[in-house]
Amino acid sequence: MDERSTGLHSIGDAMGRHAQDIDALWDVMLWVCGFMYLLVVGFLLLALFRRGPRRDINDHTQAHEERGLSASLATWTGLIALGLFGLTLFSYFTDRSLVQAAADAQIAIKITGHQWWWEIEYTDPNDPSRQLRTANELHLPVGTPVKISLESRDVIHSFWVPSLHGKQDLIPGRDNDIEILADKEGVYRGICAEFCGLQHSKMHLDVVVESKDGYSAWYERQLQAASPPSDPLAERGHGVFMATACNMCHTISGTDAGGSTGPDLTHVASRRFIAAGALQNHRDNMRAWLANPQAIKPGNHMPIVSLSADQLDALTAYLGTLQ
Amino acid sequence: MERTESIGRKKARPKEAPGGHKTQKNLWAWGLDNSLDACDANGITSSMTRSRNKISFVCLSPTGGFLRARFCAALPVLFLLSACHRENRYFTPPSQSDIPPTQVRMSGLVAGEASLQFREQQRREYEGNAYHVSEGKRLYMWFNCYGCHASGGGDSGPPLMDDRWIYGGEIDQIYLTIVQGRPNGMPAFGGKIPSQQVWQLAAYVRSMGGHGPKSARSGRDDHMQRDSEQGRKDEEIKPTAEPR
Repeated sequence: MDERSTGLHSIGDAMGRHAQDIDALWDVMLWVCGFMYLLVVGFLLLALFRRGPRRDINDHTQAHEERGLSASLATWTGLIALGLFGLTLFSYFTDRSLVQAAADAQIAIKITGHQWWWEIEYTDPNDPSRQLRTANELHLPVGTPVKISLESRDVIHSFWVPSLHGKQDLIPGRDNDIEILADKEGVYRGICAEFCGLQHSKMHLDVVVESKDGYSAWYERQLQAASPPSDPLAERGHGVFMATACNMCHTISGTDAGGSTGPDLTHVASRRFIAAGALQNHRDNMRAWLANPQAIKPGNHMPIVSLSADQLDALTAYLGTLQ
Repeated sequence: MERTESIGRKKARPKEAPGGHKTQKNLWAWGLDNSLDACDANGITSSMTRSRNKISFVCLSPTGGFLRARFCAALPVLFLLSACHRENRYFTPPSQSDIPPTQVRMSGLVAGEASLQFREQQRREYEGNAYHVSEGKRLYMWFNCYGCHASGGGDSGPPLMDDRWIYGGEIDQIYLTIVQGRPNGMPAFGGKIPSQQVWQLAAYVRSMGGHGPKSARSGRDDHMQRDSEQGRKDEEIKPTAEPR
């Protein structure tokens, strides 16, 4: 199996209200344009194989044939006008439906685009202690409208989960937002849809839509601080994390590590992928990533930190305990 | 009459020297007509205009034009070649980029011998490379150098864009300052920042003071640019202010 992230990733598999609207518009466009295309090809074939003008016919017969042609041309023009008008009308209503905000968006999420990963913050205006910061894995409860505000810290990115909604750009210095209402549980894949630099193609977002209970359980789990490692290897890894370059950029809540320029690692072991969908999250991949991130995502902003094989093993073991 | 004609517009000029007609065209093709117009506007007399036509006629014989065309065609290629190193992106550090402190000499007052060769090599490697300098700029914010040194002008920490350095302003000296820390507040980042990133930071710090090729230096941040609206207003006010 491919190491890349998996999940539904098609506007044809519409699993949210907005995506269904877009899917319907797509279907209408396909049928209208397909019909017109077949007509054009049909007329082209007709023109190719039509008999040339006969010398022996009289003016009367010719005028009769011309009349037939004029009538079909008028019908043709009418069809074009009708088709375009229909498409315009349909796209207008689709657009209107897309921007109609549900008044009761119950969850507010802020997603910040970085080169090349997604920072995700669940905000709670009533209780700051329930704010949550994670990365590259978005969990949503099924059937609940969610408002996502989109920001960027460096260049323009674009948030696109085709099974849930259309694209929305993340623009530095500008606040954009998008609303999502997922109808079905499942795992969907999102990607960055605006070229944003070297590793644009490895900037995936894992969207997990689960039952409301499952979501609350996940949320409560994520709110907890990391528990101190129990086995000696992981304990040594904890020491490596704190003593070397790791904690300059990464946070593990419950420890001294508080860097904020890289992804939050408090529950990194619970995620399905690492490096924004570039690798599946298991021990060997994690070790390879720590040993040389530049070999896996050349140009990404995680540097090569020179660690001995022992240190790498310990660090991998420690990160594996961060469930 | 002749004078006013020559002071006037482009149309007037070819009449002056019939043989110079072609030359004028050549000149215009190279985009030099604007400078000629500027001269005219400053009130150069007709005789000067005529003599200038003659001179330019000599300079821009057909072969001269051809040579110049070839030269101009070669220029962009030369520029491209000279910019090659500037654009390279090195993601993995060269094998020996850590330096032992003995290789760095802080000033003439301190004993020891700096390896000038090593210094030159690191300058070439990092200061001349736009990618390294811009990465250094990113790290400067990420690791909060900004917190004490501001944008190079200094705050609670000393400024970095002037030429007064207590512990040396060469790239290897800055490297060691970052790694070892210095008295009165500069923390030691040794072991916390990989050596390649320290070199990138040092290259960026050097670029603040105008060191290294201009082509590799990062542009000034948007928020530090003079507000364009305000700038326009300033320019509008100036010419209208009458001396009293």
